[in-house]
Amino acid sequence: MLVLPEHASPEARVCTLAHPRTLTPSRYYFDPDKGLYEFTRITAPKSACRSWLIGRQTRLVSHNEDASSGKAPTTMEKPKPEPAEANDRPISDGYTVKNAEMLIATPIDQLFLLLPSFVDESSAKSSTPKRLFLSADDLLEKLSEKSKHFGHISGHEQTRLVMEQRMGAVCDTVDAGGEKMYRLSDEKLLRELVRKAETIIAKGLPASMEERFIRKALETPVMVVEHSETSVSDATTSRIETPTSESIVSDAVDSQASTASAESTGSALSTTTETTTPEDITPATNESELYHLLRLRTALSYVISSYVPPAIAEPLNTLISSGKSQVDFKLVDERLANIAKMRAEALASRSLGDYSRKRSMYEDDDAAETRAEKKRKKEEEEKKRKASESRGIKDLKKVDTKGMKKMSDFFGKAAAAKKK
Amino acid sequence: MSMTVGECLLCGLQEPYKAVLLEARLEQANLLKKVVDAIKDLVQDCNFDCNDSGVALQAMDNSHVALVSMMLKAESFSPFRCDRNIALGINLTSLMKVLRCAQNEDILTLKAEDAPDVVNLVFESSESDRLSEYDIKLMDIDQEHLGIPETEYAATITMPSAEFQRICRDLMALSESVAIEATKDGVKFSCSGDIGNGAVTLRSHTNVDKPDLNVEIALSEPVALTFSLKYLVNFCKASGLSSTVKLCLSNEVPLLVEYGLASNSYLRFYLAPKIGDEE
Repeated sequence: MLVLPEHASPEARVCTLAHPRTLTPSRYYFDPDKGLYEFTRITAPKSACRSWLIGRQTRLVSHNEDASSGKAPTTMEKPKPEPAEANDRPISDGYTVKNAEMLIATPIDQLFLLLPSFVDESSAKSSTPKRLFLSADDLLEKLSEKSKHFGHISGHEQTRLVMEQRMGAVCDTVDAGGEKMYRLSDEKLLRELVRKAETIIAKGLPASMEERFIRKALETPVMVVEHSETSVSDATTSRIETPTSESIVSDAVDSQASTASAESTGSALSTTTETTTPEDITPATNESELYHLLRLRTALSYVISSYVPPAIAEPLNTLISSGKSQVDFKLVDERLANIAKMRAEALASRSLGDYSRKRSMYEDDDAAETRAEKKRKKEEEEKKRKASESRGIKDLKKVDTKGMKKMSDFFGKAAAAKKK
Repeated sequence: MSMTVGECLLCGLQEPYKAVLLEARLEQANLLKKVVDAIKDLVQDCNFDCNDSGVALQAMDNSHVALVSMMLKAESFSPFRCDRNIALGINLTSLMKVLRCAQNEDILTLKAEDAPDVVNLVFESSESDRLSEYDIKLMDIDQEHLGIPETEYAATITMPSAEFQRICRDLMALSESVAIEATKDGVKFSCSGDIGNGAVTLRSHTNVDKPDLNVEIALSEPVALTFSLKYLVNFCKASGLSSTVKLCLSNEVPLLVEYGLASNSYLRFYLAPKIGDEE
């Protein structure tokens, strides 16, 4: 099941190109008028057995919803045609497709496809990663060596123009004899990627990502103050620690901001400075900035890890962590480190043997619960394993095997490969 | 072709079709029952490696001093079909539980799908129309496979399996280990323990009426080795599989105890000799 964009031009093709990150051949949908699309596979979990039933129909009904929610259990009741249709179109016209997969063509920036072309020279001269200026022709040539359909794409006048434009966006260029020469610039590429990441988070991250990378990551172990004797002292100290380390953060940002010129650090500065003065205001504005940064970073690392070739991703990541890029994640880093520290402390203070654990905040509870659950599972497994041992095996455990060599001393493992 | 999804409905198929990869029909469930019964006290979980030549199994006990190697040739089954090599990791205790549900004379069929998570066992009663079907969950077992070379043994003793079992049991009462000495004159099983000592000697013997009771000793050089009796008693649980057992010994090499099965199938046990403390 394929979902392609509407109003495709007659020259639209499905073609095989090397995936930018993995270089494995993957399918893309190319429309000279609209650009390039990658296929996103939407599929139900393997355990749920689903198939498509495809019927013919003259009118487009809003079955789109049905199809896209194909994973939802509601679609189990299968023939749900409106009575009117059922009359004029028997379901027997249709046929079933075994795989309940849906491939959706989603637009992809051609920039990503071009990226691998910048890789080769840097990996070849790995000792000195000096990048050379190359003409667009050379770069495209290199790509068409890797994927045979690439030539077909770059052959289109319009696409070619777009590609060069995209290249220009991430490259330093020089003019040599009337021809433009390109060289990948990490800074420019990063700027481009950050722009993409910003568009991603503008609409909000998908719920699962938000939960996993944002909410979970920024959860602080909240200690209960109005509680039993022992934990109070621990709790208060760690409470106090929060604001103090916050001020360190803002100091760091301060000094950073003087060198950096980008606007995001500027705003970070303005919000953090106010937290230095009072010691107990949980900085709400700072928080939103923090969330924004973390989201941005999550999106950015997602983009990098799924589309950017490893050889290029590496300098990008160092560039990001060096803080010299336009966005400074230092705030996030320090906060995360801080949280990690607090968590460790909370854990340490709790493991001193206290009864307050049960009544601490629920995220702590969750952690404890999962831990207990794990322990229980382990014990259960152990028990099960023991139970599945036959008596003979238990008896053999008592045998004195002193002076007996292991079987592997007699029989080599050499033939293992042959046997398998 | 401009496509839209408008024309699709989803339906869940009740049972997905999956190709059967292995199908092995055994005339008598008894065979597998006995084999598993003999092995299950030595190893807990093991892989049944199935390929077009049959079903093979190799596993070591927990302390890695003994090894069991089973081969059920394709000819032992009728019919036997295995389209691709697969390893079925099975807990033997679980398998035994299921096999106990089969009667000795039942026809047993082993089935597995492609990329299976269960192995399917079907028992058909040869007399009535009773058909029982069981699935056993498979497990991932990471086992090292040892290459066992064909060895020329210095001494090969063939004897009734019941005799071997009796010797092991009797000597077990006295000691933990037995010394097996093979010479031109015969083979001597001797042991000494806290309460005293004992020995059983067998000589070459041919019984015309009952060839199963023959004792044959083929010897190229005398051998004397000591083994753990507990392990040997354990091996003897396979006695029901075959009326004769073959013991192969060479100095400094594991003892091979082999129970031959019909159509070249076999169940073999290897046990490391005790070296050093002769008490």
